[in-house]
Amino acid sequence: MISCDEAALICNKSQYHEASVSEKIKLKLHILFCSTCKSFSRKNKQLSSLFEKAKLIVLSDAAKEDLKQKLRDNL
Amino acid sequence: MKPRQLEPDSWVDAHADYLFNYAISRVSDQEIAKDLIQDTFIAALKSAENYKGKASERTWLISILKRKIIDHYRRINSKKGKAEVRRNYKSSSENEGDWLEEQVADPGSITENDAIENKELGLAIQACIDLLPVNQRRVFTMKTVRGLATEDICKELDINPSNLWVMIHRARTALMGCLNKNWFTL
Repeated sequence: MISCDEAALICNKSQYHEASVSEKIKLKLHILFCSTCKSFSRKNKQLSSLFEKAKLIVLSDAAKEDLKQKLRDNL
Repeated sequence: MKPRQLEPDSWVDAHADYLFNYAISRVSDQEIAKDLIQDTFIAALKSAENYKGKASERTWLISILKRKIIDHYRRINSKKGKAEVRRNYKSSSENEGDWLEEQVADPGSITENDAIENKELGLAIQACIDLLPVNQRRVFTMKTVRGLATEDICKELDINPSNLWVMIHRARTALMGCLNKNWFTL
């Protein structure tokens, strides 16, 4: 039986498709007996689907540097 | 009141992503959005003495960005000529007089509401991400928003995978709390 910390780690990994099959089985088993991890796992999945829906983007580091430089020039 | 110290570098770190997502949700073009936020920051620098510190810095920047977006649409409209809405109506059809009814939105169509909700969702999430501690924010953004591989992030930031997963865990837990507070029931 795995600990809750391990369960959380596997759960986080699986949000990025980085959990192995055996890890996923361990997580499923753990969740059967642990309501805290069950609820965390559910919320974590929902969080992932929110991110998917939101389609966030960020400025690249280069673009940010560029922006900072332009601001310095305008000071 | 003492004038506030201007720190353009920290402005960019603190607000650029939020402003960028805000701009993109309104102009749908990354390059234009980039130009708009650059104009916004420069205008903010120039008018910094008018900033009384009453509103939060972000609210103030957003209000400038809104003007820039309006100016942008004015500009492209004057290039194209005035925006016109034309509809063809057969002069003597039996549909005459029905034009108002034809304009009624299709209640079965929910796609446009989805798009609006997703924009608001994106901004709510970005606002929560901006509240994270710098390190968590950096790792989380690289992993989730930019979709980089664990290995690449570890190499770039010189951390090991277990550090990374701890930061991801803390970030995700904080985001759950933050989004929950801001109306999304998780």
